[in-house]
Amino acid sequence: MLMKKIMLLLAVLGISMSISAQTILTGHVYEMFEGKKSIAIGVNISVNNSQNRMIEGTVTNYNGEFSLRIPEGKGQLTLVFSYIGMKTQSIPYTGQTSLEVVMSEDAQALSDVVVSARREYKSEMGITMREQTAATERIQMNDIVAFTPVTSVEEALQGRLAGVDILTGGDPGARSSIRIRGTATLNTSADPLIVINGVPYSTDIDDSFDFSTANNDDYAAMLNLSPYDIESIEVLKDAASTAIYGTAGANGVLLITTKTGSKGKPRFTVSSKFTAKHEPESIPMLNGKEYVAFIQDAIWNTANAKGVANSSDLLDLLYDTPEINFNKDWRYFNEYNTSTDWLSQVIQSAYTFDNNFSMSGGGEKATYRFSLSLADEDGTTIGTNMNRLSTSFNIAYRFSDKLRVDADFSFAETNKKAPWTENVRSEAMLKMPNKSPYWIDDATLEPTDRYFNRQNAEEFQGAFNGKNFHPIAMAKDSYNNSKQQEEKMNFRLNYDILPGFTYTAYISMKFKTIKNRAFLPQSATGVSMDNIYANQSTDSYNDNLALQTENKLIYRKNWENKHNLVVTGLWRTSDSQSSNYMSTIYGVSSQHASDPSTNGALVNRGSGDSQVRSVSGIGGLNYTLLNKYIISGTVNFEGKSSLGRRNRWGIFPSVGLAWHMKEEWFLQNWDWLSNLKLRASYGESGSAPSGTAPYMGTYSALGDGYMDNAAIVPVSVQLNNLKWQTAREYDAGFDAGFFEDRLTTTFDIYYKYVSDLLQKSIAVPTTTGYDYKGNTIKYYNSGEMSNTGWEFRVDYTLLQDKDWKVALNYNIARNINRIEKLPSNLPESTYSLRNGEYAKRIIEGAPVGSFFGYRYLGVYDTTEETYARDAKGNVMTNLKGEAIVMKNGSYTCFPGDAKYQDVNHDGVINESDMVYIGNSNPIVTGGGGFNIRYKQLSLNTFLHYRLGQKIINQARMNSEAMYGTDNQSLAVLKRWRSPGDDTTIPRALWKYGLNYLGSDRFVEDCSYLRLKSISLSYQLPKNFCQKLSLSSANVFVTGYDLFTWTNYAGQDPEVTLPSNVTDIAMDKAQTPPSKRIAAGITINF
Amino acid sequence: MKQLCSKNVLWLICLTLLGLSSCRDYMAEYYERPDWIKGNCYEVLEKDGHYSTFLKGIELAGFRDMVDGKSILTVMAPNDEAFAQYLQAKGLNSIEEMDSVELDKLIGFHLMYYAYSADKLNNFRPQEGDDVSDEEKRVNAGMYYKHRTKSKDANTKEYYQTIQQDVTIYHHERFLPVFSQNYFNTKQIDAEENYRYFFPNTEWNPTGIGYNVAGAAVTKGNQITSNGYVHEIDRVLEPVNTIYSELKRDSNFTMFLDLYKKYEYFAYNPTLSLEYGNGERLYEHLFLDPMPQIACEWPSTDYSQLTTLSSVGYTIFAPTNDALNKFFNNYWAKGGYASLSNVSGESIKKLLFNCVYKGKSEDGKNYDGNIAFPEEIRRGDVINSYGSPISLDLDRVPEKYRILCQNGLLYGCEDLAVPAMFAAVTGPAYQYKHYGFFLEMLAGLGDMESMLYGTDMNFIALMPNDDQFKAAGYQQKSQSGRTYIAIDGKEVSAGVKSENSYAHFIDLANCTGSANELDSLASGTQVFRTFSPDYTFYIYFKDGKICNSYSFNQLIYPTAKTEEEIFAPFHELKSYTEDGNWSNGKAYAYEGDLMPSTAGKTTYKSFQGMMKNNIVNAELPYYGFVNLLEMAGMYNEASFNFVQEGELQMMLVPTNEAVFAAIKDSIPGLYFDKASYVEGDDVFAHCSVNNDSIMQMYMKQYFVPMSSAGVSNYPYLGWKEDTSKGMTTLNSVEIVDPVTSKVSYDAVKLVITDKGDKLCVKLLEDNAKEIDFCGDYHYFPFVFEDGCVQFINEMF
Repeated sequence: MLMKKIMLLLAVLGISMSISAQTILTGHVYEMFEGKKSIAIGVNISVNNSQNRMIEGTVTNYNGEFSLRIPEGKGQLTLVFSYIGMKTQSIPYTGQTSLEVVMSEDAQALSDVVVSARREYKSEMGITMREQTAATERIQMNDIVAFTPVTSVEEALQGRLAGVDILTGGDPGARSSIRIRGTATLNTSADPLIVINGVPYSTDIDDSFDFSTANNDDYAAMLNLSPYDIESIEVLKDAASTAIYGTAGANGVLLITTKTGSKGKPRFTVSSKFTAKHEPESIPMLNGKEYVAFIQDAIWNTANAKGVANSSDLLDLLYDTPEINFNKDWRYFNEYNTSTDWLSQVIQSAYTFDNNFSMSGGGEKATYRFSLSLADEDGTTIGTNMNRLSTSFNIAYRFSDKLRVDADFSFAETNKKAPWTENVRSEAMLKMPNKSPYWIDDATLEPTDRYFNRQNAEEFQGAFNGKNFHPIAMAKDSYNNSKQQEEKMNFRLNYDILPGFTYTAYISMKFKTIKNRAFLPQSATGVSMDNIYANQSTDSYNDNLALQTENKLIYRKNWENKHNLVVTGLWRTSDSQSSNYMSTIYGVSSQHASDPSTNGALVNRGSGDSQVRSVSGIGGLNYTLLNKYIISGTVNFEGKSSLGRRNRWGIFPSVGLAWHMKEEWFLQNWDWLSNLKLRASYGESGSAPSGTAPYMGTYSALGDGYMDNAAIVPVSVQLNNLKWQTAREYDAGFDAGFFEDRLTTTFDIYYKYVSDLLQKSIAVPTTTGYDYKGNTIKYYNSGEMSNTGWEFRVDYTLLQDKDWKVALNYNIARNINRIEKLPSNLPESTYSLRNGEYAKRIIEGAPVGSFFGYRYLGVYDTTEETYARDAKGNVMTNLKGEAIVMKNGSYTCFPGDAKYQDVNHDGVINESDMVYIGNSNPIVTGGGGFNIRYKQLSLNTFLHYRLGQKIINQARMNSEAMYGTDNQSLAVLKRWRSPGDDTTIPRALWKYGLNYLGSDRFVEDCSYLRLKSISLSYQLPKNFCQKLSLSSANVFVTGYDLFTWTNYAGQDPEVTLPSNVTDIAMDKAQTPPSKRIAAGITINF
Repeated sequence: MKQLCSKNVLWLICLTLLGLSSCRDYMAEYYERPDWIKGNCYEVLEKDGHYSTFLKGIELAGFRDMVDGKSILTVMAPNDEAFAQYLQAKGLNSIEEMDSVELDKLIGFHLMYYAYSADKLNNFRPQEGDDVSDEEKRVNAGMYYKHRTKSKDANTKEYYQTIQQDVTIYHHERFLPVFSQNYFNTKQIDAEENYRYFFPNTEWNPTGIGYNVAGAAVTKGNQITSNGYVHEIDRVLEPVNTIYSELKRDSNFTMFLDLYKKYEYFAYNPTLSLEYGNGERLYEHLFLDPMPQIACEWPSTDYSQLTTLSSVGYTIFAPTNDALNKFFNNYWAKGGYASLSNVSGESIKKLLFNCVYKGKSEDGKNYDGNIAFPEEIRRGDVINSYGSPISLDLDRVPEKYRILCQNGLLYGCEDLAVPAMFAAVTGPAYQYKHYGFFLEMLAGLGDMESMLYGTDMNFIALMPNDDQFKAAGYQQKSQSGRTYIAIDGKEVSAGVKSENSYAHFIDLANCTGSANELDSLASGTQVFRTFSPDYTFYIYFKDGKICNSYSFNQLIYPTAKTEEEIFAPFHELKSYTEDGNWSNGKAYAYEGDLMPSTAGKTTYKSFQGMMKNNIVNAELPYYGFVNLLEMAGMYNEASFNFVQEGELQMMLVPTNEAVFAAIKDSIPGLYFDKASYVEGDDVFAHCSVNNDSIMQMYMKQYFVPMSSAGVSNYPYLGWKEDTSKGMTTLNSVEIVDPVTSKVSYDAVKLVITDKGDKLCVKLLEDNAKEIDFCGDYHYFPFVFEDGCVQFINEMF
């Protein structure tokens, strides 16, 4: 549709030219070939006006002749002769009627096709890097993406930017968590804003989108963008720099610039990459034999603790549960006397292919770039896969020196395959290893190919209830596949109204659809066919249309290099509409006939629509005095539909100062110092609640519920006073360059204070009358939080000459989060004394992500140790003078039980003994690496580290809890069995006791330093390439995530943070990042 | 510069490599197995080096995995020396030569489920948890002594008579008995003596650990391993079998087993069949209650009855065939039985029951049914279900027949322990074929029967034979394989059985007569009360003949019988023993009919009823008395209206002569027209009542309600009751207080005196005259359902 409009526009322009008065110019064009003049065929000739807009044009024919109509009354005209590989010649038109032109070779263009013209980069506000007063960091993606087996941008960025903390998942397409300068919110999204080519990338998913089977994380997957198409990424961290993106940038902004075409003859790049993935060792689990012994031990211990004959369920387990006993006559004896490593049966070594093709080029008027990439990534869990086809087409057309139009089109389709549940691995880990996955042939004692899915209430591990399924059948036969399609169109217009005065506008449309199909086969669950989980099929669909527009005026004026002024005004609108539907049925005949229209029985269905709008007006001013002193400021005036009328509009100002000290006379003589810039800024930003109109009071009809009369009841409170959550940020820093910028450093220190925190679902007294459906109010502004920190980055080129280049880079960042104030009505914690439970507490003075629990002191070894002691360490006695024995909750402690610190010395471990035991925020994060190039060979390494963060190793907790039927890790072999055992792991008990309370036993330091990538690449010799008619070619081999230095006892220290920031960070043994070896080739021609 | 940089580069690369090489795997370290972990049972045994044969056996029997860590176990480990002895005894050169099925059983028997430390083996507490005081632990210490092992018999076949085919019997896992010092202490018997009665070659508790396993002493106990405990024992344990299989194995017990199998049945178990049948239908081999389940390994087939499983066992005193034959010849053969298979079911049942001890429950002890050790038997603690102690010459039990079994103890007896009821006065019923009816009646008493053969009391037993029963109208019927006694075609009720039984036993302790045997009563009279707890029933002896109170009543029936017809001869039945004595009295056979319910069949159960119906019969000795009652208006067609229905009365009935004499003299409230009377006239035709209430009061004093009489027997010679304080009659007199004029009533009382040769009665008032009882009936009371009747010679 839009293409048509453009064509129409071009056609109109053409027509307008043809109706002018005209004279004819004819002539010959030659080129110099081996010193002789020869005719030049196909040379472009155009007649341009004073704004360099082409108003007439032609090409030379086979004889090198041309004939051109010269329109009249068009002012000063210029004849422009151009041809690829030749120097363009401009000849002023002075009324000539014939002309002979000799073209000469463009030496530069021929010698090196890839021309990196140094263009001064300007920000959205039209100011240069030099003029900036804010903290930004910028990296080129090319070097990273070319040699590393990353398929997502997050992976590529990890550790590269100071203050940008990224944790990635291990499954293809898994969600990553990104935090820029820490967490600054409790109940709104903490993810940064992504801006692609100036257009915010809307990832708005409505709160109400909560389908039971849909994995929200899929929808939030950051980008449907091939990393190959990215030119560079810049991060904006402080409020002053993010101001121009309005409140959406409150958590920081990642600016992504995609590659565009550049002038020159068509250039093709083909690259292909193959990656082999190997998963790191997971937690070693008990084998069949060890498991049975452990379960028996647990049951026996509990039976003795409670009295063997007193509990029929224990007796049943002890003597009538052949799954964990040894009775050769039992009908399933063979099936329950194997040793199955379930996990190994659902994981695989996986391979990834990534093929890219791009083509770009252009002439004076138009440049283009087309790219096509195809990536296919298998996951290390069987049944997981992601493949992506993405294509983009970008053209820029320069109508004249004043008017430029850009159009970007892109289409991406991502198919993500996953098993029905994401718990296949965890299920495999907890599955009883003495059970066989397959029926055993009684004669040969070899497994058959039939799944052994005895999974019912009589079975030891019980019937399917979300858990207890056949992991292999689940991995192989179930699915939860989603297909995302995204079409994006951007049109941008750039018009230089007057010198220094520019008008820019864009309109952006993004259409995204997500189709999700899930199927749960009965073979994986073993349920009867009338169960809702028998052959259950889900079909859901979500579409989103995001429309964004921006109109911007920039005025730049420089007065003799003494005063420089940039004034910007912009108006931005955004509208996002979503709709969704979902249906789940069961009892379908097979996965091939699982469409919602088939004859299944309905389990659940739903649909919804939502729309969110915002508008903002931003004004900016940047003034530079004497090229040294800079002051800049912006004001953002923004309104959002999710807030009520009274507080819908917010004003968020920012101001920044910068000082180029190096320009000062007193530093002029310091030759080693090439650059020094001091910066300071202050900015405000806001966050609004998500959803269409959460402030709206709602009512519901109440049938005849009010004294037998029909009535209307209020359901939710009208929140007229709901307002923006506001962040104020102070930033100070410097940029310095040394030794002709061979060594550059950047340092920033910041303080961010968030007030009016948005609290969600706050309880109100039932006396308010709002007790119809849960007496809470949706949002409430209260509480304050701060983030304080610093960042430092250094880049050092040790050596650079014709053969050698050695460069180092390093970055480090520190952030301290602190809850400053909390409303008194916010419950301090939700906690009950239960195994595995950590108190979910947000308290003043502690950071978000803090853990609270008990201090674990190991295991009581003897009866004497179990005696309760007072503060002085004396044994406490009762009135009869008998020693009081410690209790964990209501359980009396015995040798072998867990020993917690009795903080208040009352002889009972309960909530009063809970203390702060760490938090999940890292002390420092960062990365660094070195690049070495020797002639055509280069070695690149990059390391990423996060230090000082703690994590609750839930996977370890679950695998050494020794509480139920779940398989456990080898650690339980160290369990306490008899006095004198030198262990910290309590005795095994069966669903009894409090031996794994939420304590520091499972809080581990998961600091790590990881060799993110090590890559060796080789640029094939030029003459070899030329023989193959290639301009260049490159082969490489890269190792990714190969080594990790950590003291963490979990499978991998990189654990993604929960998407809800108030949730407790736990390692749930998700798929760990794999070790990857990639090899590939890139060819340019 | 270039060199310098190259060096730098090299340095960097080296550093990187160094870094890579120093990479430490903390996860692997964390999950490493630390050194302190003890080896599992297999490893501990292997490391010790003295158990190679046992380990070989474990391997061969397929238990290697379990012992080597897969299960929590307690291993009773015989060392190589013990094994060598065992193999030698079996005539084997190596363990490989053992039959694989036997080997499975043998090895499995040394492997107990779950971890039992020495503490647990000394005093296993199935019902109490960790949190229990020492005091509580002392209760029943050691009594839960059996623990489940991995040893199990393969399915066997048994012939099931009902469906006439072989069925497959499922066998449960063996339990291993571990006897602790506590066990014997709790029973208050000597540990060593009792243990060694069964295992004479095994030393008792040589290492002081406190317990011995069945058949082996513990030489090195309580070795902790990572999957349980190892206890070294000095002998290879022979897997214990069920009592049934032990009996079956030895041809000396075939007769006993045949008898026992009369109670046998087979129960199909669908759950077992499904889980363990592999396509075969599995049965359980059971015996009807109350026979102990000697064929089942477990005293309860429910695995969850852990306290029962770990403590209950039966003790079977099984007679050998010789013993049974000897007894048969001496007892039933003399009783008229041709062979053992003909002996009445009831006798056989009693015989079997006497061979069985199911244990007892005692106050304050919540274990029940423990096995009986010799000392307990000697002490008389072992009481069979009939309440009599099982007595046995324990020293005469051959050593080979002192067998500790899976489900109890087997004492193989070469002398039959004779059931108490066989040796007591009930003996003839059990011994003689022709007392079958009576035996059935006795069996109907249930537990009450035990009183009849207990040695605490002395009895005279009267034995009615089958012919007598038949003559009395009883028949033997048989329906669907079951025989029973019937009367009028209907099976007799329990009430009739007990009535018949009790009516034939005299509890001498309860009798006032001096003689306790009938043979000495060739002349004279004697009254014995029978052993009937809830009704009064007497046996009368007169001149060496016998009758009972029911048949004696026939003397005063309208169609009266004579004493010659009523009294019958009897003779003593001697015991089968050498001295001919029964253990608790004497037994007699009699002729005639002494069945209580035979009397019940007559019209007259109630004396008052009989009087009523025969008011015009002047031949009857109570004619005068009943007519007086009638005149006083105390009789209104249907019934006497002054006695409480159902109340027992002692009725003193003046003879007709006494009545007439009194009328002529004077009877209060009655006017006798002396003037018009001519001798020979009907006296009553000349009488008229002038004050019926006075007359009624007067007549009531001939009735003494037994409930307030203060005596427990009706009067007879030798009665020996003291009634000097008076027995309250139904009559009362009005007393007017001279001062207050208040009226009160005082009962009229009377006193009966046994003068040795006669009985006398007088009113308890000054100057009352003493009246003699009528001697026509030997002072034997007539006993009816509404009380007794004694005739007196005068009126008050």
